[in-house]
Amino acid sequence: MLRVPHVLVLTGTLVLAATAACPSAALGQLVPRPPITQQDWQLRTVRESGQPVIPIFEGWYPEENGTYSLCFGFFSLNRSEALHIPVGPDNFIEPARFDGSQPTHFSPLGADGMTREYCVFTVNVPSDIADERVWWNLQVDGHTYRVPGHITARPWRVDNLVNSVAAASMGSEAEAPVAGSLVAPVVTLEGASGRVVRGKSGATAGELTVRAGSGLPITISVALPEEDELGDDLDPDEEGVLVRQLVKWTKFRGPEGVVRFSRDTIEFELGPEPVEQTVMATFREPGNYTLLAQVLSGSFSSQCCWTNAYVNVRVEQ
Amino acid sequence: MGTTTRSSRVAVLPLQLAALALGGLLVLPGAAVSQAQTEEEVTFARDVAPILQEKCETCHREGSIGPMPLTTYDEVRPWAPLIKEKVVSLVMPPWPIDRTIGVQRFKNDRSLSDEQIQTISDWADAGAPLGDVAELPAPLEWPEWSDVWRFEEELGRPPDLVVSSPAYMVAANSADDWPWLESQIEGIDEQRWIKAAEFRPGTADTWNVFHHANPGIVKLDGTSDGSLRQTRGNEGTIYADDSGTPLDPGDIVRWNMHMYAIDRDVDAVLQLGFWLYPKDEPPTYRADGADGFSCSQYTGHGFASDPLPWRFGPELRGGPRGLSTNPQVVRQGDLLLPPNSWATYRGVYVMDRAARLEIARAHLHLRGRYQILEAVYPDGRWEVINKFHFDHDWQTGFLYEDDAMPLFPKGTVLIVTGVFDNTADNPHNPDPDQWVVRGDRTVDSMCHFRMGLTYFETEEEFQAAVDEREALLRRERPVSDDGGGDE
Ligand code: HEC
Repeated sequence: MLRVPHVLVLTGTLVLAATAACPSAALGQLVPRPPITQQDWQLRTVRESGQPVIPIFEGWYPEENGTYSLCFGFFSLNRSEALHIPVGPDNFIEPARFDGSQPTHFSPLGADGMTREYCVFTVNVPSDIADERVWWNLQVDGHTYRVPGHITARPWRVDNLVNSVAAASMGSEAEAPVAGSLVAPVVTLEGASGRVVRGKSGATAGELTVRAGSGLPITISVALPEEDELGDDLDPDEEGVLVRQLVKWTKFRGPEGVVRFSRDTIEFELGPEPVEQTVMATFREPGNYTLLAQVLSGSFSSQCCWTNAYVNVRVEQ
Repeated sequence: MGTTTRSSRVAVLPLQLAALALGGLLVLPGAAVSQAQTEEEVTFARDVAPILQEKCETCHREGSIGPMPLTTYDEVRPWAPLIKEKVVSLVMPPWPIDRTIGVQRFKNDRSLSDEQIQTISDWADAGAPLGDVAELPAPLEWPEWSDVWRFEEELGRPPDLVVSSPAYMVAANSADDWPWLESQIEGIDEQRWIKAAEFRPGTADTWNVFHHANPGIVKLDGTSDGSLRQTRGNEGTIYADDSGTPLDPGDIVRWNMHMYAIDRDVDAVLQLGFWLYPKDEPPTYRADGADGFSCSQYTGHGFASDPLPWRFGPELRGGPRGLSTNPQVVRQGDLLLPPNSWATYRGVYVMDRAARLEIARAHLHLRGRYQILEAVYPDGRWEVINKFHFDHDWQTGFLYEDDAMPLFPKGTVLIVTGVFDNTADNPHNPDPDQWVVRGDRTVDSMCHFRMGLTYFETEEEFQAAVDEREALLRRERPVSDDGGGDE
C-alpha cells in the first residue's frame, strides 16, 4: 500500500525552547525526549483509511475455577476502512499456547462515538500464571503493535458479571443505577447448540450454514440473570423495571470480505421476561466465519457489563 | 550539590534583568542577600526549624498526611539528606508548577523561596548541625486534624459552614470505586454567596484512598454547580474579592468521589468548608468555577467528525444538563499513548466573551508530565500563562492572586498542551509497555484542563479591569510578575 507522508509543523518547540533557555529550568521537569518519528505522527490521527489498528489490554478478572481471564480489545485509527489480518505471523499471541482466540477482522472506528472495540476476546490463563505476560502482536504495514496482558497490576482488574463500582452506590436514593443495568445479561444462542452464556469470557455456538449472498437469520435471547446470580448489593425485586440493552453485531473472524448485518446495533428495553432479537447476516464470500454479538447493559468505557456471544457460520458457494 | 545550586543562582541574575526588561517575569529579590548569609554556618535551631514550621509541619506532624513528622531536631536529623534532595528538586513542599515561566503569584502558594531552599541545602551539606538550642523557635501547637483549615490563614477565620460526607468504607484491595453520596447543606435560611470553599479529607487516612471528588452543589431544581471540582492534593477555591457562587436553602452537596483501595480497609470521609460573603452583600460577579477544555480535541482521536465545537461560554452555561458549564462532558476526544514513549496533545478554544482566570488545574492521570496554558490575544501577542507540572498525587488547583489573575479579552485563543510520559522514567507509570487510551480509570488517561473563569457582563467592565491592572503594573512595575512575556 502506498503511504503519502504527512507533514506537520512542530508548534510547541517555541514554548519549550523559551523555558529551556533558563538555567533553573533544570530544577523543573524538562526531560530530554527522543526524536519524533513519522510513525509517531501517524498515531496521532484518525483517518478514513491507511491507518493501523492498535491492540489494547483492557484488564483481567478471576474466574470461578481459580483461573484468570485477560481481556483484549482494539482501537482502529481508520474511520471507514476495515482491516483483515489472518492469524499467523501478523496476528499472534505469545506464549504460543495462548494463541488462537483473537479476531482477524478489525472494524473501523465507530461513528457512534463508542470510539473503539472493548474486550472483544479473552485469553484464559491458569491460576499459577504469576507474573508471566501474554502478548498480543499485530503487524500492520511493517510496523509491529503489541501489548502485554498480565494479572500483576491491581488497577487493571475489571469487573465481569457485576459492576461492583456502580453497585456500591445502590444504597443512595437520588439517581441510583437500576439493578439490572449493573449485571451482564444472560444470552441464549439459538440455533445449532442453544448455548447459554453470561460475561465477557463468552461462548461459541454453531455451526450455522448458509449460502453466499443469501441472508441468514440469527436469533439470540437476552434475559436478566436469576436472583441468586446477582451480587449481594443488588436488590432484584424491582418488578417491571426496564433496563436498556444494546446488541452490537460484528464480524469477528473469517475470510476477507464483507459481512452485512440488517442492523449493526439493536437497542431495546429488557424487563423480567427474556427478549428475542434477530438480525439477518449476509456473507459475500464462502468460508468459515465467526460473528460476535456483544450484549451490553452497562457501558463499554466503564468496562462492565456485557456478554460476548460468538456464532460460527459456514458459508457455502 | 550545594555549589551547583549556588552557581545556578548566579547564572540566573543576568536573565532576571532581561526578564525585568521584558515586563518583570522573574524576580528573585532574596538572591543577593542570601549570598552574604552563607558565610555564617547554617543551623537547625536558628535557620531551618522556622522554615519547617512554616512550610512543612502542616503535613509533616503526628496525625497529618506526611509519612514522617518533622517537628523536632531528632525527628528531622535522619532525613536531612533526603530533605535536601526533595527540596532542591522542588518535589517538597508539593507545588507542581514551573517557577521559571508564567504567572507566579498564587493565594495558596506553599513553595519555599529560593533563599529557603538554599538554607536547607547548605544546612544538609554542613552535616545538619543543631546549633544553639536557645535559638530554637517555640514548638507550634497544632490543633486536631479536624480543626485545621488551610484557608484560615488567607481568609482570617475558620469556615462559616462545614459539610461532611457520609462515611464510606473503601475495602482493602477492592477495584477503583466511584461511590454515589450526597449531604444536605444545613444552616442556610436565605441565599448566601460563597467566597471560598476548602475541601479536605475528613480524616488523615482518607487521603490514602482518595483519587478525586468532583463535589457539586445540587440545587432544588436539580441543576448542579460543578465549580468545586477537586482532586487529591488539591485544596479548594478562593474566588476574587468581587466574585462567588450562590448557595440556597435546600442545596445539597453531591460528592462524586473516585476512591481507590489500599491494602487495608479505610473509612473515608470528605469535608467541605464554606466561607460566605456577609448577608446582603453579594459579590458583583458570579464565578464559573468549572469550565474546562480538552487537549485532545482536534489533534486527538474520534473528534474530527464531531459537529459540536468544543467550547464553553454563555450560551452553554446554565443550559440543559450535559450542555451546561462543563463542556468536556459533552464530548471528549480520545487519546492514544504508545508504549515506552512520550506523546503531546493539544486543544484550542477561542474565548467568545471577556473573562478573568481565577483558578487553573491540570488533569492528566498517571502518565501526565505537564500541561501548558498559552494565550494568543486578539492583537497577536502571545503569552505562556503557566506550565503546570503534573503530579498525580498533587493535582493542585492554582489560585491566582486577585491582581495577577489573567485577563482574557473576547477573541483570545487559549491553547492547552498536555505532555505524557508513558516510559519507565515516569515513577507513576504502572506499566510502560501498555498502549494507553482515554478512560475514567486511573490506568486509563485523560487530558483536560479546568479553569475557574469569571465572565464580564460588558466590554466596559472588562476595560475597567484592564485599566485597573495597568495602573497597578505602572505603580509596581519593578516587582510585579504577572503577565510579562513577549511584549
Ligand atoms: C501538603 C502537604 C505536605 C507539605 C506542605 C510537605 N510535605 Fe513532604 N510529604 C508529604 C507527603 C504526603 C509525602 C509522601 C509522598 C507523597 O505523597 O508525595 C511527603 C514526602 C516527603 C519526603 C519524602 C519521604 C520519603 O520517605 O520518601 C520528604 C523528605 C519530605 N516530604 C520533606 C518535606 C519538607 C522538608 C517539607 C517542607 C519544606 C515538606 N515535605 C512539605 C506532604 C507534604
